[in-house]
Amino acid sequence: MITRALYLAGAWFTVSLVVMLLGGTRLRSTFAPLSLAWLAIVLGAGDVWALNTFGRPPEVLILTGLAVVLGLVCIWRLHDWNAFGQVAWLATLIITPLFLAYAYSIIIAAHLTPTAFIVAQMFLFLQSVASLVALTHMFENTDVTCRVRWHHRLAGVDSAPGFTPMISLHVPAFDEPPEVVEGTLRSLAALDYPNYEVLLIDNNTPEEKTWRPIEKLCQELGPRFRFIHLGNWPGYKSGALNFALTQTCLSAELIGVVDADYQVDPGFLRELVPAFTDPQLAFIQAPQDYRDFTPGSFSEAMYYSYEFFFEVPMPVRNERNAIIFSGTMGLIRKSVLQEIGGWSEWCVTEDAEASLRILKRGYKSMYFHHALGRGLMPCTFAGLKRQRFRWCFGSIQVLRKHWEALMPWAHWIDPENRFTQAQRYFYLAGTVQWFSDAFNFAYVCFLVAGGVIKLVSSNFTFLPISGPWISLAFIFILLNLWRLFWVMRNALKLSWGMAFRSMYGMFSVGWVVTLAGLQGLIQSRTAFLRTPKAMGKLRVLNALFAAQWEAGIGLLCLALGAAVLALAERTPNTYFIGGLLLWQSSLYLVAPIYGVFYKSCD
Amino acid sequence: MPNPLPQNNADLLKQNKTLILEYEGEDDQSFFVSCPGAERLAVPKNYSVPKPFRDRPPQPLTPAFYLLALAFLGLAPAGLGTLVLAPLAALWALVVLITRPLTRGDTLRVMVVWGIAALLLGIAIPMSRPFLALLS
Repeated sequence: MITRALYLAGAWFTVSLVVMLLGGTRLRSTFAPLSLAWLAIVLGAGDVWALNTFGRPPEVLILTGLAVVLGLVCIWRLHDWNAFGQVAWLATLIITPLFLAYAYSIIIAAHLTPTAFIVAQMFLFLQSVASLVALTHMFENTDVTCRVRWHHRLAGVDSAPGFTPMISLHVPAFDEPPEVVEGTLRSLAALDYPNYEVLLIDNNTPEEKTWRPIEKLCQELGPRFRFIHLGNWPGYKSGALNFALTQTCLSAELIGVVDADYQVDPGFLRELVPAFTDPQLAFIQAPQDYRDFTPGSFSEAMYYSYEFFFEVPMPVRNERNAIIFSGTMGLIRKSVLQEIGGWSEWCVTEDAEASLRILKRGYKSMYFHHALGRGLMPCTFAGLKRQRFRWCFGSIQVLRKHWEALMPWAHWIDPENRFTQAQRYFYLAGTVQWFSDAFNFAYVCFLVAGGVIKLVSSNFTFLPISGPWISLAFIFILLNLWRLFWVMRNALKLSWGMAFRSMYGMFSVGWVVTLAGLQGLIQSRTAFLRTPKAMGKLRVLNALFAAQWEAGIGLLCLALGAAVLALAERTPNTYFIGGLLLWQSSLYLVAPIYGVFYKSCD
Repeated sequence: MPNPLPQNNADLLKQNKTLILEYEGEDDQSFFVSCPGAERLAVPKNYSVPKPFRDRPPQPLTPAFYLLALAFLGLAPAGLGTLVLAPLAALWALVVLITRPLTRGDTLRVMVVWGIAALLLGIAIPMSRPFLALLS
């Protein structure tokens, strides 16, 4: 029965997802009767196919009945999505538990040895957790592409004549090239806003010759600019920003944080400040954007993998007042920052951590969906990896510290916790998604073990894999890849080629995210790994060195996959394991390739 | 900790266009800094005192939540780990409830531990039965 249910759900899933991928972004209206009609068509088509293929009307009727009920809930709750998105999400919700139940049933029925049974169950557990994470990705992707009505989308704030609160712009710098900081300061000097100061806080730059030119420039730029050099200062960027708070003009109402490599548009403050006429608004965030990639290059592919966050998760989270403050190109109300105790120095992503504490107090946040400044991407692949490590590790630090505030029972224990359910979900999901790469690595370990067993002994059943299991797994992989392409193409307006390269750009840093995720679980602190914005020597050699682990894992998968396909007994299982090993090798081998060709600044 | 000068010295800092400071220390209220040609200064922190992260005393139910996390992972080997760890977590919570004076929040946490332990056991028991049957 479970196999037939899975086939039926698979039919619904395939039809609805294919149609969503083909027309999900074109259908720009939401209309309940249309949603109901599309639901009926998809379910009806699947039912007709199922009845003609394996009959069993009562089973088909029961599953269809459940799907109708769940479908009505989806259409009601997701009324801002178009019909294609609603039904595709419904089908995903149905097929995911069915697939897991089916996998469980074949493990039970396979008459495995106790050891193989335990291993198979561990694999299933991994699959279950990974499926939950995949669902969170699917929800975000569908929300951003199939949402027709955006209630909080903001690409411009109504001006508020006469509202010009004093703003203190904090520019933290550590060992930044003076010419880079000069560009930032000159752009800040050209801001079209009457009432602001700029504090350049240089912390722990070792060479005086590096910071003296910046000090001189601050003196040249006029009374708005102050230069502060902090020696032997703890707390990394947060420590510097916390000291800057002590030197902030007393009349300042807003604090802006601008990284030392950002060249801001003259309208940066003029555009964002009017939003603060709402007294509940605590912070506003504009997207991070970059200026130093060469069109058509690997750096452009990486650029779009950065932009993904600001085009997909951030707008989705903004609809639920659940965004993060991302540490540059944002304004925050000074009184709120003081109320929460400044920036946390124990956390390497102090910006996201502060936003969690702010939203927990019930304040509002806002995402301004239009770039107002552009910075520099890390110059080298090693720098890129360090940055990604910090982001992932910091997210897990935040989760370790605040996990209970995100739990469903948090409000009972702490009545002052004013998180909404959606905020809890997005902060939790946003962190758990960092473990996707760790799950993939665990999956690779299973595949490698399976491949070795295939080569050594054809009799030992490591994992019972049936025909439907294989076909559905391939359908999942193909459709999910297509979905990621599709989201990148539509959210970022990319060509197929660039979407493909950007997607592999994301995969290229998977190993460092895996490491950061695992390290974050066992270690509470790490050094703030600054992202270098200047090129070192021996770039290619350094890039290969930086990607040595990925290269090793990728080559192992490649060799093993080829060996399994060439030497093992010809069964569907062999093709499945061999094919997946080859595919996984591409996810890891992309790292040294991007490492060698990625170069963003000279 | 260095002996700080009165606060008004720190306010003088704000009149300088350039500050070159060396970190000397800090407490909940102030940063202590030194600068060339001047004594040590206390610069009042301009924000409320944050709660320390690492120095927080362990909560009585923290071990129970650790056990629950492990019990969740214990689902992986056919639920066998959960069968052991979830009751342990529930037992720990019971011991805490009996032996310590608890705040309202901690009492609620005890209920949460029991609820999650029961949920995990509800998943683990049917998961482990086929394995136990296999052994027998």
